[in-house]
Amino acid sequence: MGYIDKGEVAKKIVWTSCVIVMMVGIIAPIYLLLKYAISDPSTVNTGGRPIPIWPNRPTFDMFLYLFKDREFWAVVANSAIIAVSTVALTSFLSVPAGYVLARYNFPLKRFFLILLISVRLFPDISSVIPIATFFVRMNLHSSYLSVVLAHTLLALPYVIFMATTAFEFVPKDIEEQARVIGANRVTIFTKILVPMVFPSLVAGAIYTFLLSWDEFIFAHFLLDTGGQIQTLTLYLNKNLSFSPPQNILAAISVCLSVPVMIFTFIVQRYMVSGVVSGAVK
Amino acid sequence: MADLVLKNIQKSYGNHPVIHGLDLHIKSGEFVTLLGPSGCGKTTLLRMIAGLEKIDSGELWIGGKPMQGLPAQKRPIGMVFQSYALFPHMNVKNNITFGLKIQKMEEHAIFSKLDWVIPLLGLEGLENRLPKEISGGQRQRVALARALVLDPEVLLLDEPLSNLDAALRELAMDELKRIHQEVGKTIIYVSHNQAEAMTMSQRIAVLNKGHLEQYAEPMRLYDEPASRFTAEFIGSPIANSYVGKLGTHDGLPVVQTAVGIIRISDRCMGHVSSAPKEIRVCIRPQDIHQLKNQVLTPYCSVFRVLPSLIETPGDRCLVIGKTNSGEAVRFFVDRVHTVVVGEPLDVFVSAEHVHLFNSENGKNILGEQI
Ligand SMILES: Nc1ncnc2c1ncn2[C@@H]1O[C@H](COP(=O)(O)OP(=O)(O)OP(=O)(O)O)[C@@H](O)[C@H]1O
Ligand SMILES: [Mg+2]
Repeated sequence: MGYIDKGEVAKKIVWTSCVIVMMVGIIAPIYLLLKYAISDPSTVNTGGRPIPIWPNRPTFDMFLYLFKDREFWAVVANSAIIAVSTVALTSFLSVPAGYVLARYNFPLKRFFLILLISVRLFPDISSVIPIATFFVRMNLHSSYLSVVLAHTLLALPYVIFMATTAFEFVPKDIEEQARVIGANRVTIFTKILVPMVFPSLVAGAIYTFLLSWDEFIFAHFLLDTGGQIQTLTLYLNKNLSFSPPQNILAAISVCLSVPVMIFTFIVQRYMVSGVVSGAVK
Repeated sequence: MADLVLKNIQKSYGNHPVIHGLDLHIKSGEFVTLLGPSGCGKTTLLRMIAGLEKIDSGELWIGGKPMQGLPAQKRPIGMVFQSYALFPHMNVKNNITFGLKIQKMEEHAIFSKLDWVIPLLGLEGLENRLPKEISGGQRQRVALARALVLDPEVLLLDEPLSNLDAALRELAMDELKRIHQEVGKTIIYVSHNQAEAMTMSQRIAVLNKGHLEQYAEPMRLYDEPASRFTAEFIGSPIANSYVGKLGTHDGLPVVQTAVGIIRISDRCMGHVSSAPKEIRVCIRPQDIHQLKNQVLTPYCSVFRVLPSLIETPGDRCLVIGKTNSGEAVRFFVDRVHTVVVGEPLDVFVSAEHVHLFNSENGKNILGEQI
């Protein structure tokens, strides 16, 4: 129509700049990390001058070095075991909890919700001491179980919240229709409800996985630094204290981050799919 | 035989009564509509029949079996929700066969059910689509198919057409009638649209505030409304309504209103003295005719009106006029050029179309004779 709204243009410019600034903020550290991870060790110490934007002699030596280290694989396996167990336990607990919170009204429901989220109302560093003390008393210290339980505690509030929201989105009609058709409660839950909220459950599972995979504070307090079980984050911490070349640390960090990025990418894809549409109306 | 019998059904939400002692007998294979304004308890009644809502007191029988205590999944009913409630993660075929699979029906039997129901409802080619990939009308048909394949004795439909546009709704009404004729199921249909109910049903149960106002064939409701509520709810536009007094004129039963003295049916003779003084008179606009050169029977009453407004929605026009006393009279005439605003004309009504109701309880004064 040839008519340009100046306000619209200004709005677009502001938005675009904001997005660019945010993108730079997100990409810059990742870029720096990658740059260090693939730099040749001899080029890292430049006497204070920044290394060039593109490293002089890019190399995967650091990764090869890491991948040859048996301890590295052991800690990756530990992290994975803990993360997967946390996901399993969290999902197992949050699906029924979310359903009940979404569908039933019971006395003290609000109080219960606040109680649930109260762990996350304090910084982790202040809740870790009592929890660690408790696990020591329960003889659970330095075990997979202790970390899995702690991580579950951290993930549950959000994941239950996600599950509750998802179940709330399932119209009651659908459940009642299934009953009229002849389905019993178990069938309704497994064949109708869970498939319908599945995207949210997957998102919750991925959130839990990332939380556990990246978690340091609880792992640090619950697993002795010199103990049998080490996670990837503790391994990074230990290596830090030996002050090795920065690019080794960068390579470990990349190994920590890559699953995070991949999973985040997947989460977004599941989040957008609107499964509920077309059910009612 | 799958007669459905409701006996003195009562229901309250908290201490707010919704259904007050309702009796209804629906014959096997009948198409019955529950008709009433929003909030009168239609959905509640349907949900009680389905077993989704507890019945506070009273009895529900389907096919001679008591339904109390039987959970929804055990009752011989199918239901189509107002929202269709299709399972969004299943394609059309799986939606339709979900109930059959629960019953562990064999594969070939499921296929033959599909072969029967898909052409019946015109769903060919949509079998593998998700609910979000089909139109509103198609969704409604899938919901109906899903209920039909289970071969229920009674099919409950809660305003299944209310989400469709006018054209699609007409088609769907014909479709439903055809399906009813083909499958011969007892159908209980809920609607607050009286035109829809009149077109489709064999009998209509008119509900108002949880009471059954009348339960009769559509034409009977129209011609012999049992209460003032039915008279005004059935038919469009709304009936003319006046305050009147029963009496006799030259020895014949009449009602005196602000419009004039109106001759009433001889059946009312017995009530002329016993009826309360004040009474409500309802006459449908369709029953008032312009006086041209017809030969009138002694049962007709004539009065003069001054047209003040003429609406022409189609082949007929609705005339809104005033009598000498200032009462509004609405009636239909055939052609617009015969009526001119401001030119008085004579209209007449025949006695059998003058409906008389008790001013206090709204019941037809003929009571049980109806
Ligand atoms: N779960 C409930 N709790 C409390 N009151 C309810 C509940 N469900 C319905 N009601 C009330 O019961 C009455 C009847 O409701 P119902 O849904 O049966 O009406 P309806 O005839 O189906 O109306 P509509 O044509 O709008 O669907 C209404 O006054 C409504 O507010
Ligand atoms: Mg309703």
